[in-house]
Amino acid sequence: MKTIKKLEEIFQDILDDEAIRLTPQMWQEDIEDWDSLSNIQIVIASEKEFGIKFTLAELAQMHSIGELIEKIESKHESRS
Amino acid sequence: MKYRDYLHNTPIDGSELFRYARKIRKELHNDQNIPVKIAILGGSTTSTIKILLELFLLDRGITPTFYESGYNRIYEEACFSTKELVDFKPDIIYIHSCMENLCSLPEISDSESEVESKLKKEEKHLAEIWSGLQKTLKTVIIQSNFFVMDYADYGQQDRICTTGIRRYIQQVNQIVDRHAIEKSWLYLFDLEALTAKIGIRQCFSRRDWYQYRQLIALPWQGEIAQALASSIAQLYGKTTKCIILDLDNTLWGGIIGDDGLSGITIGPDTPAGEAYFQFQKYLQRLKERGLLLAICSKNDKKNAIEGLNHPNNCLHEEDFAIIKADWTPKNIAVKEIATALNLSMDSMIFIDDNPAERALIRESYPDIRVPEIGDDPTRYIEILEQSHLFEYQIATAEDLQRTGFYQQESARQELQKQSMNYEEYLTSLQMQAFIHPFQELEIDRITQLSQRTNQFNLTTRCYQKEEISYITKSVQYLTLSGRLTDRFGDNGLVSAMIGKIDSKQLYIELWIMSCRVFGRQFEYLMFEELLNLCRKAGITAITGKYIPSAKNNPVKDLYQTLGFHSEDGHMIYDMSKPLEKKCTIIERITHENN
Repeated sequence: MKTIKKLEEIFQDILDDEAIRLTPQMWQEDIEDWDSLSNIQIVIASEKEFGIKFTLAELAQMHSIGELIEKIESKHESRS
Repeated sequence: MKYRDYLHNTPIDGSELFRYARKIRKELHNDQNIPVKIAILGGSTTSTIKILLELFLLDRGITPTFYESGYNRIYEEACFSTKELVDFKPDIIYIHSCMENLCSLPEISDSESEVESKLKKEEKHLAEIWSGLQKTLKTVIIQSNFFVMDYADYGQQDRICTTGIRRYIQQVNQIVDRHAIEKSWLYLFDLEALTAKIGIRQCFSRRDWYQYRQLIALPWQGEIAQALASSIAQLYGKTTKCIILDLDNTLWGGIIGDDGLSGITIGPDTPAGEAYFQFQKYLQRLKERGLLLAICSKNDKKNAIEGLNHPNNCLHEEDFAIIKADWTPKNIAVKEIATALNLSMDSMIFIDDNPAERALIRESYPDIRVPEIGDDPTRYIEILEQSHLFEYQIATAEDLQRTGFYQQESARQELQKQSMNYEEYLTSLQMQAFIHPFQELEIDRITQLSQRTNQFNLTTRCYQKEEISYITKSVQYLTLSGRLTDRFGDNGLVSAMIGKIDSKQLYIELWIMSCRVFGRQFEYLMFEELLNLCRKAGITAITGKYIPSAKNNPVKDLYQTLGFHSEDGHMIYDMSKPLEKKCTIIERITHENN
């Protein structure tokens, strides 16, 4: 499954809203419930789902779906 | 799987809980819960642990509402009575603090007396927080104690060096202990022991600390929240009062009904026996602390008692408040135990090595605790300890009254309604059967099954490998072996039948089934398949015989149940009569891929 699809499911679970659809262009402000608390949940759930651990530097630049996907995929590549 | 099941895994995965928190919360919503107002005063971030604490409390029948202090404003809010906190009128205050919140830590250059005066200051500071809160809010305070986050300056000697951080934290914790003993309204939350159990390297993360000011690394907040919820539930009388235990492969190794008294594994003489023995000892200590023990076992009662009287046991017959050993489905047996002991489901826990029995109980009674105990006796204690179900109740009614704290009567029924009946449960198992004549590769397993199965065994005839091998190839015999899978996995080859053909008649020489799959209708399916074979072979009648033994009582009426009639001491099934289908639940798979 593509990263964005998996991420979409994570957002749907955490925000309990099956209607959420993600595009790389979306920013934190575009998703109503994506606040600092749910952001922590998204980070932790993504780390579990993709088997990765973000660094402090990476956490500092994750304000859009595009950025999040980029970090996840670069981690995956560097692992494999 | 229900979302709430994530709350009962061992170890608890906080990452999963953070992902499904809203869904779990929705699932657990219950208007009849006890409402409790909890103020969390945190020296670090508390919003995440609050999410998880809510889930675990909902799961224990408590609906919390929360107040959270400003970040690291414990002292200010406690001593200068913040209006919001006073207006909130908490029932419980939880202080989530850590070594970084202490007034000061020892410096390498400190003298002995400087460290002493720092400790004095620390005690004064903590005491002011507690009495400040108690004075204005008059309620129970739960204080977490302190742990050393990661490094210590003096290595192995840190606990005995004057300015060692471990020595200092140890002394601060002793201050907390002392006050908790003196003040009936001050309770200890032993975060030091909890983090040690989990392992500091796992549960303290500098990344989570720097990024989010999280004292506990996020994936491990689940277990901490669970322990905290148990401490709070305890204050409302929600503790475990009774442990319901299976016997075979739970309290001892092996199956008493099949293996007999000398065949079961128990006692400190062998490693496996010691595992069961020490588990019994663990239970015995809980019993001495005041818990009730009960047996719920699918066994003939006399076998159960015989096993319990094995001289190598730590627990004996008289240690159990009730011994329920028969063949009724366990959901019914558990209800009978609850009724007999007059206990509510949420005060009992159910321990059984069989995952299907665990699922049955969990699905029948959502409030009973069913730890995922597994089937490895070396892990039973560890898993139970991880589930934090035996919180010690130190609050007395008097304590609670004095602090303006009262216990609300739970509006729930004493016994919960079953959410599923047994047939629905069997359907939910999604059983699939693979039944066919004996195959070469199965000969060893069938031989072994014939030698070891004593309960579901109509003829108790033992076979050697060579005989089974001969029968497999012979045209004089009809044979069937049965494998059963369910949603918990493959039970393996669990049943076998051998029938000898003699002039259009079939004589059932062997019919065995493992006790793992009793009560699943599998025997009916095996029989229906035998009828198919007989029809193809032109058989007109089947003869069966029940030969009683010390252990095969469970199948004494099997042939009658299946529609055999009695004739000259034999049971006869007339092939011309219409088939009455008794197995409706198991799907039969005819083409095997593996």
